[in-house]
Amino acid sequence: MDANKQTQAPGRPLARRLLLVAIFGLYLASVPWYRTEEPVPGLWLGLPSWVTVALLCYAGAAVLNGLAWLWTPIDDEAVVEIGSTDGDCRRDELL
Amino acid sequence: MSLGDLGLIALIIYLGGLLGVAEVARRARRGATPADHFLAGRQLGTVVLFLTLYATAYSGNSLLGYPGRAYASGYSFIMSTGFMMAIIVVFHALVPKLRPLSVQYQFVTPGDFVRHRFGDERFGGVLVWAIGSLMSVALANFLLAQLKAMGDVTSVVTEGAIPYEWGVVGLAALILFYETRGGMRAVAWTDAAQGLLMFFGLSALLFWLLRDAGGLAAITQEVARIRPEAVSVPDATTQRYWFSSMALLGLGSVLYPQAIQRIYAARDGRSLQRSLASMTFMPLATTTVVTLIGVAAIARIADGGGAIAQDQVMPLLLGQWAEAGGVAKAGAVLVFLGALAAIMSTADSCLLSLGSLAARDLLGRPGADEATARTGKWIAAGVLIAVIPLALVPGLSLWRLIELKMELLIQCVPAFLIGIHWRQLAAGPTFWGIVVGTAFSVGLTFAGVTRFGGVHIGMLGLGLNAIVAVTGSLLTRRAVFSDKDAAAT
Repeated sequence: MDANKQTQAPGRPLARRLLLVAIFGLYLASVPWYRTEEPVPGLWLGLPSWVTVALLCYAGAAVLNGLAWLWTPIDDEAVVEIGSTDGDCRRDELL
Repeated sequence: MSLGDLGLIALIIYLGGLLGVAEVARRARRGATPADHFLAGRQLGTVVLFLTLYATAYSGNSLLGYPGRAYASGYSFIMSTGFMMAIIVVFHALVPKLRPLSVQYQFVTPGDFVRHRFGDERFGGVLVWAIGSLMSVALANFLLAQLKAMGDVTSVVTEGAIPYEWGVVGLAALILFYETRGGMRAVAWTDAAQGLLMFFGLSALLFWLLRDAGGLAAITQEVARIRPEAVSVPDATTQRYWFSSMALLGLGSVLYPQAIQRIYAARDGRSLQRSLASMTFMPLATTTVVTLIGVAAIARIADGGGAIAQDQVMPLLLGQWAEAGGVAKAGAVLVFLGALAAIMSTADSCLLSLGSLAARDLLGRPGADEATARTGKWIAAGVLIAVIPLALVPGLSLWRLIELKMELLIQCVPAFLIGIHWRQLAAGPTFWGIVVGTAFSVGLTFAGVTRFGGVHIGMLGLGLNAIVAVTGSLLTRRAVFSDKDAAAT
């Protein structure tokens, strides 16, 4: 357990949340809802342009998500409080 | 040497290798407890954990079904890259809290979390049983689909030398043997080998397709000429289906029992963190590749007005590749083995999870003793033997039932994803939410309605489920506080 704690990257909660918001934005942009229907769209990198945009969005999401995971501390010894991020109240106090 | 002979030799070598791995895994075991059998003693390191997550997430459907879907839908099936990646994104909502809880309270099954979270409430026991039942039915459906696919692939790769029935029975027996002997350790190690086989097989096929067709642009131009709608911007219904698929798969797949058990089985938090960080790139290397393979097939296979069944696309492509002879023939066999590896790795994980779920969550034996592990093994064997006859019935159409897999799993989302973050979620409303959401999804699916305006029925069912669970919990909370106020005065 100690070894796990020593090698665990420090958490960066704000940066991680921003990354997750950016991933959500990339997911929204990956679906071509903002494009007008074209019978045969132009090609980018050998693919229809809307497919290239979708793939670039997913590639970007993969990079950001990989980074987000590296900034997500998973501490096996952490005291987990159901329903709070700062451990203020336990579930069994309520029901 | 014919394709069938080469396939038969490769199959024998591959299956012999699996048996060897199982024996090594058996010798590596440290006990006979449920944690050792079902979770490999919670000792999976980064590389094995990553490869077993990869092999389990990508089933035979990913390799055989998805190219057919891309062949039928065209480039819009690029959505599969998004929905497979969504799984690793949604894990952010579950893993950071579930993992420490699983270590501290020694969870073995998903139901152990539900028991910990809701067990002391009035509907806690019923909720554990309901979630265990939904997950077991989903796993049994999934297992049945894998058995059918195993029979198909074995028959194709050996050109009928091993008939469909022998493929189903023989490979099912082999999986049962190595899973019973080596448990999660054998499953994870064989998954690692199967994951590598799958990855290299697909890469080789795409390389051949691109080289043979003169590059990606040439393929796209040819597809645009033959079937313009396959390259055009998708219509509004398809776009809604795209969003709905990302939500359905992202939310539903994180609740695959075998995926949750791999969270528990990690050696430590850092191994899990690194494995998930690597897993996020695999849709680009796998689902994008199978989508491109399926689209490339449009230019290569003249279907004579839609006569080609979707799941015949991949075998037809591989047959064409093998005709080139030499290295190409070996490559085609490699892809077939990769598909078989993907199927077997998913089937063995389903079977292992089913045994543990049934023993602990349905029969109510959450012990840490050898008897619980033994009960799990017997149940797994019983389920497999019960499912084999269904897989052998020719033409038996259970596909609608199989389609229900994700619609069922996603009904467990409130108990896990809301329950782990919102302390006011109560067991009773969560249970009734599951009842309402499941009844809605199953009823409409059996009535033949699988989507509404492009949105999956399961997503609509989840919406109803969440409304019942959250509203009911708020009302329950108000009632508790009213009682407390009355008692105080």
